[in-house]
Amino acid sequence: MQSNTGEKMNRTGVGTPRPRRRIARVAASASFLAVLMLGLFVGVASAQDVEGCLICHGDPNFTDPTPAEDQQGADLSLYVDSEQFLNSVHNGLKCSDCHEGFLLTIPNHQLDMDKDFRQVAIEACEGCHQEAFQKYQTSDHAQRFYEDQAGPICISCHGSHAIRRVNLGEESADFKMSMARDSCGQCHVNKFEQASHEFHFKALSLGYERAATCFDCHGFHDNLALTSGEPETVEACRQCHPGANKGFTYFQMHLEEGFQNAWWGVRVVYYFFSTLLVVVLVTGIAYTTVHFQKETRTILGVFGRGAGRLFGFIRHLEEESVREREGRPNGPEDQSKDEPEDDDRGML
Amino acid sequence: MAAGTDAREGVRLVYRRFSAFHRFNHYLVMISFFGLVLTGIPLKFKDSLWAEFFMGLIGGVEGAGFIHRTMAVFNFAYFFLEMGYMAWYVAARKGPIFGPDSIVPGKKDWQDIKGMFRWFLGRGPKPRFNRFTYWEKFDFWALLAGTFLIGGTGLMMWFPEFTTSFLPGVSLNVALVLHSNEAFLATGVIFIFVHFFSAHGRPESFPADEVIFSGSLPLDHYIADRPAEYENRLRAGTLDQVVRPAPTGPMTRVNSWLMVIFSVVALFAATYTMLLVVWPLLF
Repeated sequence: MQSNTGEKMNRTGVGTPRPRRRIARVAASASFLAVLMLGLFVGVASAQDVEGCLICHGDPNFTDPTPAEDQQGADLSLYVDSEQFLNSVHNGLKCSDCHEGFLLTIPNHQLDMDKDFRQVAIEACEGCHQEAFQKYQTSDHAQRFYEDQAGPICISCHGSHAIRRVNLGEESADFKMSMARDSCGQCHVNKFEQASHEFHFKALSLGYERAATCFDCHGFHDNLALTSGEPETVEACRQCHPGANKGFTYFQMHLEEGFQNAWWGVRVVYYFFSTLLVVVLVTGIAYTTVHFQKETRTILGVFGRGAGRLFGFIRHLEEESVREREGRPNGPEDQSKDEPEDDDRGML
Repeated sequence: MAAGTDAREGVRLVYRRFSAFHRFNHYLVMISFFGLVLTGIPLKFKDSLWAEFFMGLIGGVEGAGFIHRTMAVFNFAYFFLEMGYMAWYVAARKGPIFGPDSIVPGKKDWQDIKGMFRWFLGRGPKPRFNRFTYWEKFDFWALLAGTFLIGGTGLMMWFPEFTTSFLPGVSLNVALVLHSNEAFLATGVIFIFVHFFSAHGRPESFPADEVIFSGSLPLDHYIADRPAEYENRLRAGTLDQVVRPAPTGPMTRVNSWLMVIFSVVALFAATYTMLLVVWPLLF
């Protein structure tokens, strides 16, 4: 940035002080502000930032100047990636469309300083998303939040400035999987792990978008805790399985790796067949190896003798049957009785 | 009738081992097995790099599911055909249920196993086999039991609402575990190690045992392979029931080509299974 005097300026618009040019300094500051406004309108980072928020919040190193810290104990980052915002579903909105009640005073913007900023955040979403807000109010998540500020709020699952556009009912398998893994699975780690061992998640991970993910059964914002045998569980299953009844809901969806939390019968079957698999596999491989090498070595080793012995055996049988017909069980020409038949004894 | 006589007259003799019915059934087994394994293994080993690739080739999860269920119908077809045949065989007293020519395991099979291990160690002659060797009988009965278990649990999962109308919902969990595990057993062990070995891998059978495609075996091969049966038939005079001149005509070429095609497919199926199963274990 340059003033009209051609000097380089820093942020506050103060250049090299020239004692007798106090007016020039004021003029420089004013012109700096004018350039700033112009620059904002032209849009270097964001066309929507008519309010100038990105002056500070567009800096990747911008952290909360107050003593507030995030969960890791570091300074809270207040950086907003405007590229992400442009690509999100809220592209086109101004900052103050959500961040109502903020003043353009630095550093603390919030009008009502006693309100938890998260409550402020929820109410910001309510402004446009009343139905989701009402559903959320009925959920376990909201209960946990209101009781001890521990539950998730809107931005916990959806993110804040990078909320993706999605057409309900036409979500891709990747989207469903990412919501399960990155939103639900961030807190419900075990449930996510356990769900990946059964039909729906297997199909999802292989690209089948019609398979149910967490929110298809548990609802988006009402976040139902579903128990087997309950009517609301049957209703949840019936969204995709119209003929489902109470028995259907006793299928166990969230299973540990070794089926530790399943009905004991599942474990019995699992252990029995796994053992059988290992035993048969090991026996099969061992047997095949031994048999194969023996056959190969036999054929290669007794090439000439094998053929001769074969025909000798046939001849022996013919002669035997002829002798039996003629009533002569043992003849002098029958010497093959002394020879062991088809034998390669000693050939290891 | 001794083998030598007709040989001197210059006619090539073959031993007819499998009737058209059995060969047809075997085609059903082959095709359905390939289809079921190719579509089922990516689901079991979904984390393998190859799983998503192959799933994409066969039309994704929906396409694979459709093929899998269609092949399952073929599977049921051969199962019931074979059951029907066996029932008819017993009812019409076509032959003894237990005996040297039967597919039912008997004392001789146990003696053959012992004899084979002695032969492996160089302490005895190679056993002389009757119509079916012990590994063929194992193949047959293991497949039968496997089809029953795998097909049954597959049906349960194909119609989950119907199944859970009279069975508890957790039975679908049991069905999934059983189906997945047993199908892998059937593929990895029976498919690859028992059957592929005896029908493709053994030096006598390499690259493929033609007998299930053409139905017949050259007489000298038969005598070397099944000497006990040959001897029994020779003594009983029933050899001409099964020995006849070698077939000529166009079907022989058709059968040869089918054998080649199916051998290539078999090789592909084995490689495919190995890629999906062994790859994630190694990498």
